[in-house]
Amino acid sequence: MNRIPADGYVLDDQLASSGLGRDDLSSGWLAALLSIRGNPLLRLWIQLDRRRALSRSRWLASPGLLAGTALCSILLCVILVRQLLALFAARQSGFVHPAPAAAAFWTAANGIIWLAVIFLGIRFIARLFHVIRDSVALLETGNGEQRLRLDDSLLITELSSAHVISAQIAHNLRRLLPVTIPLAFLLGLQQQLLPFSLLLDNTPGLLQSMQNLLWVPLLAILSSTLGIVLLSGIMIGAGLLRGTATLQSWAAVGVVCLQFILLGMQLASTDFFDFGSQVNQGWAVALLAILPILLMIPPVLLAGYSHLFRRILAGGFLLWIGFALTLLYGFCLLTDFNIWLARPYVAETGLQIGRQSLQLFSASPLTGLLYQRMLLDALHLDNGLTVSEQAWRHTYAFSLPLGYLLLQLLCAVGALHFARVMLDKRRLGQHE
Amino acid sequence: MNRTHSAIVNEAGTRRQAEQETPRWRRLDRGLDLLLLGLPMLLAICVMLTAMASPVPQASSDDEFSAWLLNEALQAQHRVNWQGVLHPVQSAGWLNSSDWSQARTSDAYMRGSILLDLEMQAAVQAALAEHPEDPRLVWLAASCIPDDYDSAEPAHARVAYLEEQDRLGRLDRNGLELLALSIYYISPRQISDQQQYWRQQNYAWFNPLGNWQDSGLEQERFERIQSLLQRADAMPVQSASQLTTRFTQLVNNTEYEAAAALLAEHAELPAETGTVDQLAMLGIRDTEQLDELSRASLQFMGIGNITQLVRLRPQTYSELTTELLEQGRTDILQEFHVFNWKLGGANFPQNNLMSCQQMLDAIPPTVLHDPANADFRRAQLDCTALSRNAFLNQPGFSQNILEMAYDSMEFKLSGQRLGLYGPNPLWQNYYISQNSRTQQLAALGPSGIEDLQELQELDWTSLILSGHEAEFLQPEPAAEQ
Repeated sequence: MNRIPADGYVLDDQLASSGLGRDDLSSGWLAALLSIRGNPLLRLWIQLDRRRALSRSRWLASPGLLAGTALCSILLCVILVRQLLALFAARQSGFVHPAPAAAAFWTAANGIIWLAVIFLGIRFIARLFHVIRDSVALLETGNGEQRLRLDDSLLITELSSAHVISAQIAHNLRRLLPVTIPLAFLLGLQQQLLPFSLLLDNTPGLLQSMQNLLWVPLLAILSSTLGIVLLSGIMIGAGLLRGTATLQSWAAVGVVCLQFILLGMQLASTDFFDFGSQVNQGWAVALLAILPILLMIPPVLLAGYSHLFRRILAGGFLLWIGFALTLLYGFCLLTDFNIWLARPYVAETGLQIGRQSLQLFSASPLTGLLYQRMLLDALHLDNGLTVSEQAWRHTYAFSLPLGYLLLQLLCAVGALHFARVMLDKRRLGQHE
Repeated sequence: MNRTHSAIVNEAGTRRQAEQETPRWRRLDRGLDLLLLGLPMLLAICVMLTAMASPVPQASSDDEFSAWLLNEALQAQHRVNWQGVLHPVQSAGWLNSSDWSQARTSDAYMRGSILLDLEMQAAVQAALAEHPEDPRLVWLAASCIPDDYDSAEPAHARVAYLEEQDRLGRLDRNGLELLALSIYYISPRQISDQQQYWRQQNYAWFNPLGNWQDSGLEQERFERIQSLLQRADAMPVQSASQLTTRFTQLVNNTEYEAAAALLAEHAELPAETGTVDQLAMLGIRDTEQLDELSRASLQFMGIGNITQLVRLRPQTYSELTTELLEQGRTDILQEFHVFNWKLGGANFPQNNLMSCQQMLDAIPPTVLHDPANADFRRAQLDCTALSRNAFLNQPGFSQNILEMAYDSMEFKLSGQRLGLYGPNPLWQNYYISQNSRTQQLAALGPSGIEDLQELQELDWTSLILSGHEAEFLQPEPAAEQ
């Protein structure tokens, strides 16, 4: 490997400083995971990110973020100024009526939460796009400016497949989690506020059960982390197929958009809140939530071993699945069109909770069910149920999120295996 | 490999480059941070602090009872609005635990209304302890007794309370009529789907007072009701609203002449100006001091909007007009017309327009299009236009998509409460069925108000029926033979 000027990094230096020997490099996932902090690829990508961040404005580098945040911020400012002026005018006239005063308070509180959610949401989508683009084009990217270029010789001589993949995934997590974590807490807060605002008011539950405020976001963060691993694994493996990087990127964006839009639609089910009495409906919601994963994972795993499935994947399988699911969910939605006409607030509830699916492949609907379990507990609405009914409610509410997380974990492991197999084949030139 | 290394970072070079460019970008970033995130945050904190520091309003009235009631309502409204963090034990029973699906249709409005009921109930009880013989407090206390919808006789507790008060001689006209109405409700009857819905919502049934004679009441109960109403007739009347129960009962029994005589007896009563039907029964007319939500909540306080409950259905106006025209009794129609416009309340003038429209629409076309009856034709057109305008000319029905988007966002951010700029018409429609009296009148505009006054002054005795008898008069049985 050539030496480069003294004030720069070279990959050999990075390897030496990382303490990774040849033996370490040839070992598996565990070694890659344990040595992730010293992974030279990861450290180089971090340096590149820092360099990019220092060289340009945060806001101007993301015109979408600037435009979206500015629009919401201006609207919110107009609303708040009007509220403030009206409050002052009312006070000058002697007093403010109780209901509008309380409404102004909650308008301000909700407004700030919404602005933060929109700001973080746009940042998340922008970062997600970069993550997908980089993962798909792990070996193809780089016009010399954006990213370190990895060519085949480097792969053959230096890092193991597990190290390269784990570096990419760690880099993806590093970019997405700082946005996902606050977003999960904000959306968890919103998710808690809305059912209460429908039922009681805006605030009960928030102060009564802090565990609610923690459980749902923590589940969402765990699920999102697994989702990022899952998506990265699929994208790295599928992107190694020659000439299909753009197609795979669009496919991934399509699937993520589906997660975002369709989970909301699923949760708009008329009987969403009735999971206790409408158990079958609850199972249907859960099935719809995991359908994308069930449909995607088998062909992805088979593509690691079968040329036929690799061709299918290269032909935009994920994209076609995305279209098919759109039609399927669209059909499901239209058949229950009454929801949108007669009960708009139900749809709104669904979308409110569905916003949590901004997080990749998250267990949103199931954490939502768990939340409903807690809501029922908080409202003491179990009175009158038999012991078996109460036991079933608990089992149903807690086992589904757990089962979904396990399934997601298995899928993530499968996706990692697929990525490694494809990268190994790429080293040997057998990937096409 | 050169291509590979071309992308490797020169850290020191990067730092130097960054140091040169940092100040400009940093200033811009910080400025945008403050403008886009800091400014809304600052404004929000200002709004929240100002709202929290707002004093509770004080209502004033010449009438001591009115002042007490309105101030209690405002204080209760204040407590209801700001106590949101806690889930009061008293309200635990209002949700039907066996029907969770209905619970999601509840919202802050409904909860606020129920909590206000509880607060007002406590206030009335406290006042009653001091003034146990005040018939208005007795009536309020009775109306605050909730109906037990799980019972076959939902109003039995109220009946028992009112009977006890009757024995002590503490019932006025309102109290006697409420007792008669409650006894009427005791009777077992078929529950319609709509009633079932309201029953699940723990609201009063919205069925108008029916025909008591044909209602299948037992003889004993029917006579008891009649005797109570006759006693009520002998009592003085303070407001036009107090005539609604008796008027409705008489008209539903097609005793039109008796109804007209009742109205003629109290012809001197002025038109109602109160905006809460419930309080108009007590003669309280200072309700404009209350905010929209307080007014709407009081409208549904206790057993619900009693004047809506006992007011005639609009189609009954159509039926009675047809029948009275057949008899040529335009004098009775004039009495009913005048009384209709005396009824005020939250749904004025929408309800009044609806009833008037039914009467005018019941006039046969040939009579209506007679040039001699041009006033009635014009009144019918005005009535149609005013009904439409009173409903449509509301802020929330703007055709401007930007305004709609703005209103929608403001409403969503308010957490489904009423906003500062008047209630959202879409949700007020959901809550109190109609836009408020003030808003409806404002929506009509100056020319609309003039038209409304002309409509109110319409004289039914000037309706020319001669020459059109064949169009609507029932043929004599003898002629058929």
